[in-house]
Amino acid sequence: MYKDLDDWFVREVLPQEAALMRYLRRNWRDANELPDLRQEVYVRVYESARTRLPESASAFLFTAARNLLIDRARRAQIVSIETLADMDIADLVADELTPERHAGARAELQLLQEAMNELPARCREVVQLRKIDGMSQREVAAHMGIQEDTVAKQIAKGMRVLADALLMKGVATRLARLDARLRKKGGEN
Amino acid sequence: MIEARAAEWLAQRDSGEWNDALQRELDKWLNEATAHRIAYLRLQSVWQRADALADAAAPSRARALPRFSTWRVAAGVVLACALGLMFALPRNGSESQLYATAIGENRTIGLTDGTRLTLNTNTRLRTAPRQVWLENGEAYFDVAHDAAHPFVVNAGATKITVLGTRFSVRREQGHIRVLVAEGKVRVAQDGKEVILTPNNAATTTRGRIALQQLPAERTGNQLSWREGRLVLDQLTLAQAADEFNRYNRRKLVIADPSVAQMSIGGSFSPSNIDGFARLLEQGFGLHATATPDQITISR
Repeated sequence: MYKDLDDWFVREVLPQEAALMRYLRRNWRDANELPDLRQEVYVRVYESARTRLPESASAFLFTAARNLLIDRARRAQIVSIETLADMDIADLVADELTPERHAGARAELQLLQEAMNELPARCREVVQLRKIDGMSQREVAAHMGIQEDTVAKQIAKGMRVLADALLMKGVATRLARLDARLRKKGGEN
Repeated sequence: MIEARAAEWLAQRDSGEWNDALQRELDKWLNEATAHRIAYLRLQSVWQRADALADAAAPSRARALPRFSTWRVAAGVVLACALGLMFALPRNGSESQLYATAIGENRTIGLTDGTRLTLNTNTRLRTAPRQVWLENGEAYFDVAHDAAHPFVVNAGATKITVLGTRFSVRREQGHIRVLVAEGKVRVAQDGKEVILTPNNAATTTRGRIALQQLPAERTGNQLSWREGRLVLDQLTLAQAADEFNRYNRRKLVIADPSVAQMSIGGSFSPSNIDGFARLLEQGFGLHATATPDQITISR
């Protein structure tokens, strides 16, 4: 049971970001538009879920993604969108390497540490002092000899880079799990 | 750009320089457009996940400034418990704020650090910066993260320490129950301590801390009071009556012991004991006798 819609969204939809991005990347030519597309899909899913929570967050997510791409393609007057329309959602869900939603603590930690490596040097230092050493932003500023304002800016930047690194990458499922999904193709996940 | 704005908001909150006015502005911005809320949730969930990095930190990592480290917190907890009551109550004259709810009342308050507390029925607690003393009842804590200042809830001899997380504490005769929805919580009593993670519950009685691992749904059920629902989950009728009675001056009395052990489940409005009694009559063939002060249930 979810505390509220936000809770549902964070627990059921966000973990699928990596799979969603792979889908969008494969089906949309302009890579620059992907973050916007992603956000637009999320908005549609969130607003629909306000009326009623879908039974399967992933089927719902990918249906919304497909419909968005069809709309966009139509607006941009891209020819032959039939290929998109014909794609069976059940196939999509089965074929995707769905991120393991509740990755073990160790896998999660590894993911986080890898994500940290994506941060620019100064940003990483700030995030390390804040998150690992547990310093407050004020203390980080004092320790590094920079303005508190700068620390806040670096934190903001760090959050965004970490989000892209963590959510867009996800954790690949073990083959056994993918296998089970393919066998259950078309059924409720 | 929306994501940049969301990150700014989160960074501001993270700095600890926060107040009610800012909270109102943030709420306004979040409500302006779903896209704002989505961007915010996305970044917030990641920033919270990053807390796990602190756990992996090698103890030998050089620290330039003395830190309120985990080791010191543990030592502090043991010390407080050994000295007993002296540290369990706010000192007279110190600036602590009292909050209390009546029977059947449900109230949410915001603290200056951004923490939000929801008080359930018949609850009484005191607050000071980053500290709460739960004297009676049940409260849900949505603690603003501040690693430099752990948030502490004192309930009798039990001390609950958190960095920033969501959990509830319930205090009744003889025992205290802590249930974690999100994050990590340290529960300590009499020199013993445990660390709870989501869907863990700890029940402390004198001398013992009992741990429980719950399925996520049950955690949700046990926190449903926050939405004004009472979800009964594998309870006997006697236990169900006790739960209802926490919320109502008019009490449910189970007159027949043979009936008291019946298994009851479902989602109810806690103040609607007449509805519950009707359900028992219609669904279970029991008999309900109503007076101004109570409803008696018998075979």
